[in-house]
This record gives sequence, C-alpha cells and structure tokens, in this order.
Amino acid sequence: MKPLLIVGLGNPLMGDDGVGALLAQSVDGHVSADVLIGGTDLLRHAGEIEGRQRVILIDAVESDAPGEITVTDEDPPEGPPAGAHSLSAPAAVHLLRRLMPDVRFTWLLAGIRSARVGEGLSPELLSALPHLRERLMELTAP
Amino acid sequence: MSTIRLEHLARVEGHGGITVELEGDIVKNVHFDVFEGPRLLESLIRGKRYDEVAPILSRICSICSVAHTLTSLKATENAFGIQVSPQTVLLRELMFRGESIESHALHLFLLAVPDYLNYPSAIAMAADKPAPVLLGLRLKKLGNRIQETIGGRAVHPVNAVPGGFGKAPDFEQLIALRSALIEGMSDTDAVIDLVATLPAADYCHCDTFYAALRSPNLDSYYAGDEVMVVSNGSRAIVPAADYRSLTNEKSVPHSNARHSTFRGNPFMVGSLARLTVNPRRVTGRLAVAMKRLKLLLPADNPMDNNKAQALELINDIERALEIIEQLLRAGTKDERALPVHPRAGTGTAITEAPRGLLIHSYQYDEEGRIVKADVITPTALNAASLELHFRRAVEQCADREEAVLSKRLQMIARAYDPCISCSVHLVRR
Repeated sequence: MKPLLIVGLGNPLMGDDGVGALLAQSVDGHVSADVLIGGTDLLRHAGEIEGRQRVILIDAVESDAPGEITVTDEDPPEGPPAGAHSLSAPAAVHLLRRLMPDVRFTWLLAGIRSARVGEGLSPELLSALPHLRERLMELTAP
Repeated sequence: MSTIRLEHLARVEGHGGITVELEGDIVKNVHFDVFEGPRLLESLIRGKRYDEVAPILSRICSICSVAHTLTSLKATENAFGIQVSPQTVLLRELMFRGESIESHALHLFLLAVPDYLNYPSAIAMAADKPAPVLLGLRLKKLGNRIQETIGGRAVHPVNAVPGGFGKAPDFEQLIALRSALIEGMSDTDAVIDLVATLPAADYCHCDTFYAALRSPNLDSYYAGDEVMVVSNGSRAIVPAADYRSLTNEKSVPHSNARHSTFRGNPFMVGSLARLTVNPRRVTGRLAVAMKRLKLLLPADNPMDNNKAQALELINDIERALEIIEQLLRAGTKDERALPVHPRAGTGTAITEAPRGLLIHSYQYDEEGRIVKADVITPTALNAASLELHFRRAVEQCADREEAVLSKRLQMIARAYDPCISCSVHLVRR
C-alpha cells in the first residue's frame, strides 16, 4: 500500500490561491507522506492517487475569515465548470471517489479573502501559515 | 415554423448552441451558434517583441498550448528566415505527439464515450464503468509527461523558444520517457477493444471535404508547409503562405467564429482529415486496428472522427517512441537556440493541432515587433462543416423529436471535438 499523499492545490501565480501548494511544500520531508503539488489539474495526478488509503487535499476557499481552517471529508461545492477540458478540484474528487472507492479524501481548506494575479501570500495568510501548517502536521500524524 | 434550440452544448469546450428551424418537413435553417465572446488576442500582441509572442498566444488554449506555442515559433522563425536544427524539429514533433495523446485521451474517454454508453457525463459513467475513464486518465498522464519533459511544463511550455530549445532533454530523461511510452503501448489494445465495441452512431452521411497538413514524410504534425484538400478523389494543394485561399473566412450573423470554405465548400479538419489526406500513415498495427474499427476512408460520417482519434492514439505513441529511439541513436546534442536577427517581413506557419489545422501568420517590423497577426484555429475552420453536418443530420433524421435530434446533434458536435473558446477571433483586414 502506498503511503499517505498530500496534494497542494491552487495556482501560486494567483496570490493566496497558492496557499495549498506553499503549505504542501513546507511539510515535504518533515512528514511520513508523499507530497505533490497538484496545481489546477488534479485529474493529471490520478495515477499517483490510485492505490492510496488516504489523500489530504489542501486548497484555498473564499471566506470572510482569511486563514480560517476547515477540515472535512465532504467535498466543497463544485461550482460552475471551468470548461470541458478541466474539472474543478471538487468535481475531480467526485470523479476519483467513484473510480477509487477505497481512497479516503480529506480536505484541508484555508479561507482566503480573494485571489489576485501575482506571486506571494497576503499578510493575513502569511500570519495564518504556522497555524495551518500545525493543523496539517496533526492530520498526518499516524 | 417550429424551432428547436439547444441553448448550450454540453461536454465541449466553450459556449455554443444549435438552432434548427423547421417548416413542416422542410429544414429551413440549421445554425451552429457560437456566442462565446471574441478573444481579440491578435490585437493584444500588436507591438510585442518576437520573443513575447508565443508565450502570450499559447494562452489561447490550455489543451492546445503546445500547438499554439510551436506554431507561433514556426511563424516567427519563417518571418526571420531561421531554419531550426533537425533535432529541434524532432523534439517539437514529440511535443505535438504528447499533446495529441493527452487531448485525444481526454476527449475520447471522458467526453465522447459517455454518449455511446448512455451516460450524461464521465462522472456518472465512472461508478458503473470505470475502465474507460481510468484508461483515459492513464493516457492523458502519458501525454502530459511528454510535454513536461520536453517543454518544461505540462501546459504552456517554457522550454521551446525562437530558434530551438532552452535545454535539450538528457539521456536519462529520454530513457524514462521511452519506458513510459512502452507502458502506454500496452494500453493501446484496450483503446481499440473499447472503441470497437461501441454501438454504431450513423446520424448523417454526406460527401465531405477534408483538409490536412501534407508533410514531407506523410506523418508529421509539425513539419510541412502545404495543406492538401481531398474530396471525392480530387485533390488540391494550398501552400501555407496562401492560407487565405484555403480559409476564405467570412462572418456569419449567428457566430463569433467565422466560417471557412474552400472553393465554396465547407471542409473538415482533425484526425479523420489527417488519416484521409495521408492514408499511407495507416500501416502495420494501425491498419489492423482500422479494419477492426470498420473505418473506411474517405469516410462520409463525421462520427468516424472518434474512431480516427482512437487510431491516432496508437500512431502518436508509436511515433513518439520512434522519435525517442532516433534521438537516443543519434545522441542528443546540447544545442542552444539559434540566434535571432529580427527583420521586417511576414511569416506563416501551419501545423496539426489535436483538433486539426492551426494557422499563425504574422507581420513583423524591422525591430521584430508584431505589426499584424492572424490566428485561425481548427474549430473555426470546422465551423461551416459542422453546421453542414448538423443540417444533413436533421434532414436524414426520420424522427424529429426534440430529444432525439438534440442527442444526435450533440454527439456530432462532440465528434468534432470542438474548442469553441479558441474559435472566436475577429480581425479586420
């Protein structure tokens, strides 16, 4: 059985939307799990997900409380499809759950006020980062 | 007069619909409505330097970003009289094959197959029939991997630059790609097995004009500067520089994608056109598979484009393997991109994107800045042909119930694998 997989989602070129990728990178080598930067096309990594017991997906979610943490096995709303050639992360997980019913998917969602073009996190998210990382480490504990 | 209107075509990229107007049994009008807003990217790049053009125009499409990048580079290099090295040509062809594998796998197994098996989507199909979806995802990943290795990224490649590549792949990378492709080959039997067992879909038949790149070795998506148009045994050649005599674009009121006709006839581009124009590609395993799929060329049924994509998946993997073997035998040179000396002039390039012919044509000033640009995508080239096939399907459909027509027309649209977002360009000449 393959080990736990942590997938950081989002686009690091869109400010706080990249918090998932940043968080995943920050724990790489510090937890007994494989770490993957999933970007904005989760389906591309279906092969890495297949055969796992558990996958933790880190993503940003719009919120009035930046840095707010939500941990859930329920998929967030899929929202309108971006296009036929790509599925949103929740829609991709919806598909993957059907293809791989033995995999447990857990979301670690970080609240962000908005995504904007540009690299780097907002001061609000930067200050929330240690807490987010701590929560992620807890989730990865055996 | 009764009207059937499909407001939104599902499982195709972008926003489009279909309008059918009937007067009793008479089919009055059938329109492929493209209401996606114009993108105006050609205007955006006016005044941009030659090295900014490909990265900007690549953003026209994320599924065809390799095709747009490499066609853009080819047009720029043609304008400046740059002849890239044979190694660069091979690596660019390899990138095209990677993109084609990804695109065809996604389209065929996640967008088209659910129709045949009566599911509304791949998600709905996945619980009962996971095999086609898993097969599609495996092949998509293989295509992505080729693009990542050679282009530096799976989408919007950064390693292909004017004059060549930033960095050539090393021996280990090519060996790893070869292993992945050999593994991918083992999936090709499953591709044909699956497509061969799909129910027949014969919704319209008519003589069709096909247009595709006529490449020197008859099997290239990148090299070649002539288009061949084939219909009913007649053939015509159009040099890339004369592409406007192929496209003859004109605006139509119901579509932001302009319609192209060759000598007054709509024509089809894409997988089926490529096999029709270059039938000598079909040898060995491909010929056996074609027989199994009962595909006869030239085809008169646009639904056969799905079969042609299945065949191209085999061909793409085989061709990618051949290229890697060739590179390994010759030993990749650590070439740097050729120096670029901008000059005033025009350059046009035509290549084969996954959905068919892609045209980029630029005029540069003496400093190497864009004066004028024209980009014509396969879906725009296909728009008139798709509309014609919609009309024939309505005419040839005995049961004109809205639900029946709706499903048939949507399946035909999906067989064309349109990328409507990319088809909209409005450029004044």
